[in-house]
Amino acid sequence: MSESNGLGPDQLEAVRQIVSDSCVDMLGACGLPVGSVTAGRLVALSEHELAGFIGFTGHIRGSLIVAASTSTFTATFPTLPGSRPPSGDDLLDWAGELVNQTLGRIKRRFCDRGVDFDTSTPTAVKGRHIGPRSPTREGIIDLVLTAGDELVSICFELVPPEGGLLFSSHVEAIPCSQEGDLVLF
Amino acid sequence: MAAKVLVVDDSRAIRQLVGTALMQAGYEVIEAEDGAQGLSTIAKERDIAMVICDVNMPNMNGLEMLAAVKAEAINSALPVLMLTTEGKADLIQQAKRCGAKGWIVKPFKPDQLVAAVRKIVGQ
Repeated sequence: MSESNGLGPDQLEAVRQIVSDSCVDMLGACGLPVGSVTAGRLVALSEHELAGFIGFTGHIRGSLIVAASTSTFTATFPTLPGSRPPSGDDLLDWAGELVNQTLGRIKRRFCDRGVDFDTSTPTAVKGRHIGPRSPTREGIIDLVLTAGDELVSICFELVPPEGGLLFSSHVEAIPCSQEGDLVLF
Repeated sequence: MAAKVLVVDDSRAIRQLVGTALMQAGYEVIEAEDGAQGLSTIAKERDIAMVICDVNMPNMNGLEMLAAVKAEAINSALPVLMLTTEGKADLIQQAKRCGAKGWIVKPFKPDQLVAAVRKIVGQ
């Protein structure tokens, strides 16, 4: 794992914690409680058949990838009583939406620390042995989340602003509503 | 007759979830995949009671669609509820200024969404 992306160790750890907390929250909200989070990347990803991708731009830029098995995306797929089981295309679509909602959580935590970015629309792929390229590039945070028998790979890439200072103690939080908030005008 | 609700979201999973919740609550649901398709659907289907709209979508985003909808005098009373992962206060205020009826940050609870639709549509 290579993480010397111009951020100091404190800021890098803050980003890693934000990404980890956001992923754990998202999967937990989808009914898949995460047991452990490990820094690093899986060597063998044979069971990873679906991956969602999303990018972000602005003051900072980068991307988020969430890769997991079909059974993981099935377990987290949002359903109501009486709904039909998700098809393969439904799960592919859900991989994109799950990474979109996960980046939304990361964005709110960044906003709490005064940093904003604009998100792109997500996309998703399905295949066999989906994994990141090797060796990894600088500026990438890799995490492996364990939820029961399921493994979820997270790959977060961040290109910091000029000068490398991401979070400053002198910057105010950017006001944001939280997940599930409803405002009627 | 059931009130017709247009759900505009590029995620099929979200359209299905919203659609199932609203149909189980007695509403008729039609769908569009992005803002441009949503706009043309509104132009064609004159009996839409309410629109539920994502923000980040390809082709035309939800705030652009909202502005285009409200630019037509015939749609001035059409309620639009934004449903999105975005939560920034300035975007919420922008939607309010453009004439949106409300804003929900994903993920949402289906019961909460149905209650909001009932309050807005009045059924």
